[in-house]
Amino acid sequence: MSVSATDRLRRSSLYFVSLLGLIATWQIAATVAGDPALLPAPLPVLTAMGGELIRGELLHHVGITLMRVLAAFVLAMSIGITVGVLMGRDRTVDGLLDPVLIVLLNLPALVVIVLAYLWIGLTEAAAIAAVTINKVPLVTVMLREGARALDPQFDALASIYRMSRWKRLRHILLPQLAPYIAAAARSGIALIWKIVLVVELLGRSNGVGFKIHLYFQLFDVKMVLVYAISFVLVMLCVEAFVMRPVETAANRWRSA
Amino acid sequence: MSDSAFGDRAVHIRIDGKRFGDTAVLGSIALDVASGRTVAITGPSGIGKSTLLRIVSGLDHDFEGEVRAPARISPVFQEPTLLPWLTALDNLTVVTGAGTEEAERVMQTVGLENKQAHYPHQLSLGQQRRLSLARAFVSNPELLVMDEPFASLDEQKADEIMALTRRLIEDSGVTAILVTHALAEARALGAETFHLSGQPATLTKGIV
Ligand SMILES: Nc1ncnc2c1ncn2[C@@H]1O[C@H](COP(=O)(O)OP(=O)(O)OP(=O)(O)O)[C@@H](O)[C@H]1O
Ligand SMILES: [Mg+2]
Repeated sequence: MSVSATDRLRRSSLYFVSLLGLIATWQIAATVAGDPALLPAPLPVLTAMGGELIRGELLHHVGITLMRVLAAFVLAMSIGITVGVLMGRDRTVDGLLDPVLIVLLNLPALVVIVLAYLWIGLTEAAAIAAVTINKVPLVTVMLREGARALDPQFDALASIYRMSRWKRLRHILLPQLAPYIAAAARSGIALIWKIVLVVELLGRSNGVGFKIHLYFQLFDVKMVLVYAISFVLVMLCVEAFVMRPVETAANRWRSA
Repeated sequence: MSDSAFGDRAVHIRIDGKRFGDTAVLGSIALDVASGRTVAITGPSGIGKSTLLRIVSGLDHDFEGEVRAPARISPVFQEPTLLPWLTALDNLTVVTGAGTEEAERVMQTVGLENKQAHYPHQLSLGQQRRLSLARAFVSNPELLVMDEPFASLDEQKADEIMALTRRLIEDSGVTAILVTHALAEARALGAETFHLSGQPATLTKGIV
């Protein structure tokens, strides 16, 4: 217990040293550059961030982007888990969908986004669909791996005892897939929020990606940084306060 | 499902053939196990013992012939096959649908009365085996199917678990089919022994 406690303390202090180092490097680079229009120092960026926050602009756009991330995440995970498990458990489905999967995996994100906007129109649905389609293949591949690793003895047990579908799902299937779902969610959220910004840049009139595009056209580096950093911070919070606690809860039995 | 001519817990096996693709694994196999009797099936590795047991357990319907077995079947596998994310008690109740009191009673019978809240990885291998036996008996089974249940144990532990298994079988009056390649195990359970041999495999009575 005490070992893991000091270990955690050590890790979090290293975390802060690393963060401080990053900010210090930024400050030095800004001083050396000597041109606030090109690279503003940390403090002015923070001040500008406060200004945007008070005006309500920041939360509005960050909120919209976060909703898009959430929608695409839930869709991509649901579809990817379902298709991945079906492919991992059924050879016919696997053979049928594998070529489609390979094509989708190798399709550049930009192509998917442009086609979605062209075919569906410059709508919210197109934006969410484009992000989802980008993410589904990766979730599918990871969950197919998980489904292939399922223990057939557990299936035999469930069949002989005639466990209900719900019990099988909850107590046999999901716990075995949990590590794969966690890995897919982790890499998923990182990929999705990056793609959402591109989608917003190309065809939405709100959200962080839209704002970054706007300030890019105005050559306002400071405001680009304000929005970029704000969203990185939000995603770090999601990781720390949503993803990690869920993972810890799912893994509680391992450390019992 | 049960056939009155054979009694409530009897097993009636008439297999005409079982193949995997082009390979005929089982030939013609006829075996009746009377209610409450224990039968052992021995044979070399890869001969089809597990295949036969899967058919009897109702896990494999893709064969020629007919099998009649009771409805409530409990398996015991070579590995304890416990769900690692459930406590010992939940491993009994969630999987079999048995009640908590019944589960606690059976855990006491196998000597695990103070391990209810433990997860499987917190139990020794011997305790895991006893828990998997407890799971098999908690649902008040009519037929027990065991596939090499003592194979992964050292000699002393195997003797202990075999004695416990025999006692549980006798106390419950369950019909039992044991698959093993050790004749000593069959003897320890007081089982009538059959031997599986040939390609496709057929069944002969007694020791060969
Ligand atoms: N799902 C399957 N698909 C194809 N062949 C199979 C399958 N299951 C078993 N077999 C084959 O059927 C034969 C009998 O297998 P089985 O598992 O019943 O043997 P066993 O007698 O239980 O052997 P062991 O003592 O090693 O457990 C083997 O040759 C095996 O390769
Ligand atoms: Mg076998």
